[in-house]
Amino acid sequence: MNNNLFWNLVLKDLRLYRIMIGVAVAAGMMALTLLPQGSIAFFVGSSLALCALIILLITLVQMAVIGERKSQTHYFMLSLPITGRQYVFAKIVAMAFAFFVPWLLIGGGALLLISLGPVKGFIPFAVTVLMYFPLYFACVIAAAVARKAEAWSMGVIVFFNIAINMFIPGLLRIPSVATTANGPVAIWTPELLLVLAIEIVTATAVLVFALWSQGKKTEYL
Amino acid sequence: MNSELHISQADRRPMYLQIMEQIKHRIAVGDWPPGTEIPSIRALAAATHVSVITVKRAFTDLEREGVLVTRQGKGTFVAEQVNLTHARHHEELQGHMQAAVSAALQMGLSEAELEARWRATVEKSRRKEP
Amino acid sequence: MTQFAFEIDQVSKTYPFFALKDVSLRLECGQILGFIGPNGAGKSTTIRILMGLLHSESGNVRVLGLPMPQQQVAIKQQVGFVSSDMQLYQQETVEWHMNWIAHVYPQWDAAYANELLKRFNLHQPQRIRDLSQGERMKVLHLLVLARRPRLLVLDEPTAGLDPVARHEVLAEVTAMMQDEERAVLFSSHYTQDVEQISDQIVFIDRGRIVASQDRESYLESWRRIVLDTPLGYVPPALRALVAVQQTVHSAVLTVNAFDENLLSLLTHGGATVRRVETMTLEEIFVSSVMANRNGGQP
Repeated sequence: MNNNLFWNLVLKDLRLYRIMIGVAVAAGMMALTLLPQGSIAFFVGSSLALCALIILLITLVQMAVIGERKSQTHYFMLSLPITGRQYVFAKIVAMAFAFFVPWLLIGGGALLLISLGPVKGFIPFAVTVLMYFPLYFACVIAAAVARKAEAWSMGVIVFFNIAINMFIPGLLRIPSVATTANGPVAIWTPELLLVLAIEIVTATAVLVFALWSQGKKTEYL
Repeated sequence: MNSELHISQADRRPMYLQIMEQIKHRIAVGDWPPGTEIPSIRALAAATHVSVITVKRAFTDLEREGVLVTRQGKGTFVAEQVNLTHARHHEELQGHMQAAVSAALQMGLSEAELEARWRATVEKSRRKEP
Repeated sequence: MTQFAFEIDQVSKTYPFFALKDVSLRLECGQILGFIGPNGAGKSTTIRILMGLLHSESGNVRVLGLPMPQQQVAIKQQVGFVSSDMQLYQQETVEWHMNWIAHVYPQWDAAYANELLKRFNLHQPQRIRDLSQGERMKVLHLLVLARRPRLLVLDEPTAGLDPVARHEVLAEVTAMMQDEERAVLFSSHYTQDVEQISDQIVFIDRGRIVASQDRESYLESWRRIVLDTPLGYVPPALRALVAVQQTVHSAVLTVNAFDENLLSLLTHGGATVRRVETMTLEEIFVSSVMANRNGGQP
């Protein structure tokens, strides 16, 4: 593998995403400032932070997947000394950096603030919500890689955007979560751990499947 | 040495013929005196923006006519025995013949009729000779 | 040194409404191959298989002596590809693309690149989105020419270019051929350009190779023969006869395997030859395709 070119491609994509990343991190940080300021502010701030992450993901998918196909730049890229497989992998790696660095900053910042505050019981719940995103990311990547039609990627995005609105309240309805989330101590209930495990395993499986299936391709157009 | 020759897109004749004509013209006017080395096939093709095979064909035919000589490993040269005026006369003759043929075709003469006329003209001028 | 710039051997690819069948073509180093065919004939498909963008269902492909697609990375280091449906990054500048490519290819010739900038009348700070289609093609050419590839694959390279730009591109392509180790695949609808610079002509129609010859003998074998014909003249059924246009007293015959004996065969029925014309590649192209469509000889 031409390592130099591979990282050049990753950096080139990151450069294209730089404004998006900056805006998302800035918005997320501003949202985080609301967290310690009372329960309504906490709700608003955390909603905004999640919004920032979702919008970042949507925009990245738009640019990386749909935009590149429309703009036909992949012909140019595929004429370079790389395989189609390396090209797609470089795109995935760049997208992963572009999303998960802000995710770590915003999510990590949120967890830090919560752990400094009185309601530490919220931490397991917050972690479970944050781990929704790797699954979301993996599914979008899989859709983009497996299917040429944009409708699939868009479909996955719509699904996960709607689902999160049911996922979060749904988690809070679990009796053990409801009782411990507002408490002063972080308690990892078995139900939360199960959800967490499902999220991680599914995300990994989907991602591995996506990478494996794109290796089978006979066309990179 | 200026290698560039000119291909006229308006000229319907095959390109290799145009190239042959221009090489002969260059020789005739003295750009390339007898015995001088002329640019290689590839150099001429590149300078004239035509395919190598076209120039190769022109060179082959010119060698057959005795206008050019290729020396193994050394290059292609204008033949020593090429008569300057000789080459130019051939050009002029070709021009005359071209004009005659065009005129005949314009008039609607068939190739057979033109040939017949030609033979008649040759006969006539032969009879005129003292 | 490898003798062939590429060898495509019995390659096939099937699509719902089109199939490439047993396509073979090869190009010797030091030559330009003119690849022509009507729209949808399979030119772009063949070229994409050559460049490893598509995998063929059968046959094999070797480029610069290496198997494609297995060694596509090594191959593409030495091959330049320009296609009219290629796009660059709209928001970036000419300079950004030049630097990026120079980074990727160690054989980038900066001096030559600057010379090409001038010749193509391009400017480094220009953004791609502000360029016309023709200017974008020129940038693509610059990016490919300046790294001096051993094989240049051009798919409709002069589409959208003004006559000056076309002239410049053809000049650069023919200049490349001073080096016997290099080769060019030139696929274009501009038959005049193909005719001018190609050493070999390969003609593809409906997924099959219809003709593959050196340019000189290909053009030499086609003629349009104008005959004065007697009433009721029927041209002989010859394989070389591609098309016939008849009026009461004359006939125009298009043949694809001309020699002097043919003329005597044609005049057998009392017809006389009025004129024998050579044909341009464009005329041959149209004749061929029309005959193929009418079920005749291509």
